[in-house]
Amino acid sequence: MLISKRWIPSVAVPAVIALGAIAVPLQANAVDLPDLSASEVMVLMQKSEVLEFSGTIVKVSDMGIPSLEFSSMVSEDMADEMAEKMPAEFADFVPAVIESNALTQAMELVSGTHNVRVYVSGQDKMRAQILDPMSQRDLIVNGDEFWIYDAKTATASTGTLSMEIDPAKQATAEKEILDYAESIALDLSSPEAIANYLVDMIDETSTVEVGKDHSVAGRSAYQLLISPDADASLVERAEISVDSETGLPLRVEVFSTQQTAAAFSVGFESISFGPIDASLFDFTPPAGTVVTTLDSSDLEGYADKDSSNLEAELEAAFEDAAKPEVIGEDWASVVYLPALPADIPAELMATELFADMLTEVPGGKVFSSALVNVLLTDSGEVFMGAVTIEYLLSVSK
Amino acid sequence: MFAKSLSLSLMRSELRVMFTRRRTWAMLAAIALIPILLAVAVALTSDQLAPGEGPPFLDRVTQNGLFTGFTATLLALPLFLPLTMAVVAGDTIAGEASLGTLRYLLIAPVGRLRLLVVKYLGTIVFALAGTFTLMLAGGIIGAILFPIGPVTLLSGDQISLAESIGRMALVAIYTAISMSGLLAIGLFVSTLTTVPVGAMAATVVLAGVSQILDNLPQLSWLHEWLFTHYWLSFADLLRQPIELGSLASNSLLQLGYIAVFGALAYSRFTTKDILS
Repeated sequence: MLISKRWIPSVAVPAVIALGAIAVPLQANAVDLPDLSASEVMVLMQKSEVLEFSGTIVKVSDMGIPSLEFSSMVSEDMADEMAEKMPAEFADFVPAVIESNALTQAMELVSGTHNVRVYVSGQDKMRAQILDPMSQRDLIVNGDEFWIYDAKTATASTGTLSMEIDPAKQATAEKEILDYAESIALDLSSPEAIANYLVDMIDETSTVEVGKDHSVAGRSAYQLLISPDADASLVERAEISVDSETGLPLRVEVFSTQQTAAAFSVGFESISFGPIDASLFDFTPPAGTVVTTLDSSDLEGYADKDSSNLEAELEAAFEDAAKPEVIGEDWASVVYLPALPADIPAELMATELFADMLTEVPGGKVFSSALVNVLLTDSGEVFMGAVTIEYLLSVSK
Repeated sequence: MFAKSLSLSLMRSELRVMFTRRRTWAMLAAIALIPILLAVAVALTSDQLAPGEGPPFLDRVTQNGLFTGFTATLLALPLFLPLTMAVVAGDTIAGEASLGTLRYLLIAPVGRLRLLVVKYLGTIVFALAGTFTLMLAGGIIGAILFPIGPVTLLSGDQISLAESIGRMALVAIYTAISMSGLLAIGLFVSTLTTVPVGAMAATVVLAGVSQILDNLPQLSWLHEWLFTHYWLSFADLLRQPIELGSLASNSLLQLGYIAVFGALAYSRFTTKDILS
């Protein structure tokens, strides 16, 4: 039997959609800009003077560890209950829910995807909005006043930032920089010279190249590629996308040798330049908000305290703790601790999440992620670094 | 000219049939009950909810009755709203077939494509009626039981009463758009069978399956292609400045579903032998 030609639309429509889904991103990447060298791109970045823009930043991290994805329709209790009732083989399918303790909150920030809208106007007005599902967190800086607002808990914190700089201190700092520049024969008045110097510095341990011209957030961009020379490094390369017109960095991506997808990526999904409605930076907490005022003296206390005093205090506080030691240098540096700090790990190790992330290797256990490996040897020593497990093991011997 | 007036009269008669059916009114009444029950329950309990406790916005309802509509939309989205949509969409072709009226409809000089389009537009009108009923009932019961005033958005900014009503209408339209893909699926399923209940059940099951898949982190690559993916993103309309990104993505996604399942429904319906 002949199939009626009336079935043609049913085949054609999905085909057109599939083609569109493939072709549109491809087309967006076809960009050709005048060739620039790595230091020229850095000069472009330095000259960047865009002070008024708004955009959406997307942060994605895929560190190869279980992500804590927030499922809006599942509560913590429900997830626990599901975990109890499900056969062990299905444990992976229990939705992970953000718990309220500090560890998971910190994890939540490094793992997963976040959408952040930013509005920047001048050097002293900024608003960042983290778009959570059914909620939002806001950070507003307006001159010397700042606000932090969390819609979920209806709480806000506010305070003032002291913008005053001690002129005497500033003069000393400037002189120190000038002296240093003179000592290495660097001309600070020339952005080109600074860029060349920086490229040379990075070049000692890494390869710096200019990658393919491409498009980020609808803007044509240059790409700086920095790849570590060290074989043991877990970092495959870092990519910095620089807007060809304004020099604003549009995206930073870090790739791991362990996976093809970027381990960490933060960049604009959309951006537009132009004046921003000033009312956006005036924040008045809505009625019913619990407002905490952070006293400015609390904040200044840290800055004003004599740094040598602070050092002494820190040393006194951590006298018993083992001193970390750095083995190797640059990309292949490994931090060594003779023992785990006594107070932190007990709670950490007890969590099932953490236990799941450790794998056994000869001579110890390894916490492995796309960019960092931590080796806990059987004798209680700790080695960590952005290096391969093999390298950690060889260092430990 | 003749064809156009024919389509119009067909559309009018379709809507007349839909809105004279007791079932349609019963479903709209049930939809209106959601915010009413919610508001009464909140009003009767003396316990103040702490911010962040319970479903989003629920703790704000007592401060501002206008939030009732938003909370009700959120609660109706996973099951109740798709259920009523599945009933209407599943009935479109299969219902006529089971009653034996489909043959008579097609004896009149009405093309099958035109009949499909009119049936689909009818379901869209019902979706709009449903989502606006939800918002309107929420607004009215909220105004009776709680104070109303400027609405606090997720960003902490407050907007005037007039602007809040605008946002409520936007959320209702957004939710109706969210339902349009499901309605197209329902229309296609309805051309497959002469048993309307079967088409309704299949449609509502698909809505459930899509939501479950959307909650599995292991399938994250699939999520943005699921027709339920942006359903809860109506919250983006409650930010200041308003975030229209998810409205655009949602509309594009739903258009894709309408195109694919509309084409399938066309192919199936125009090649099918109409026996009843």
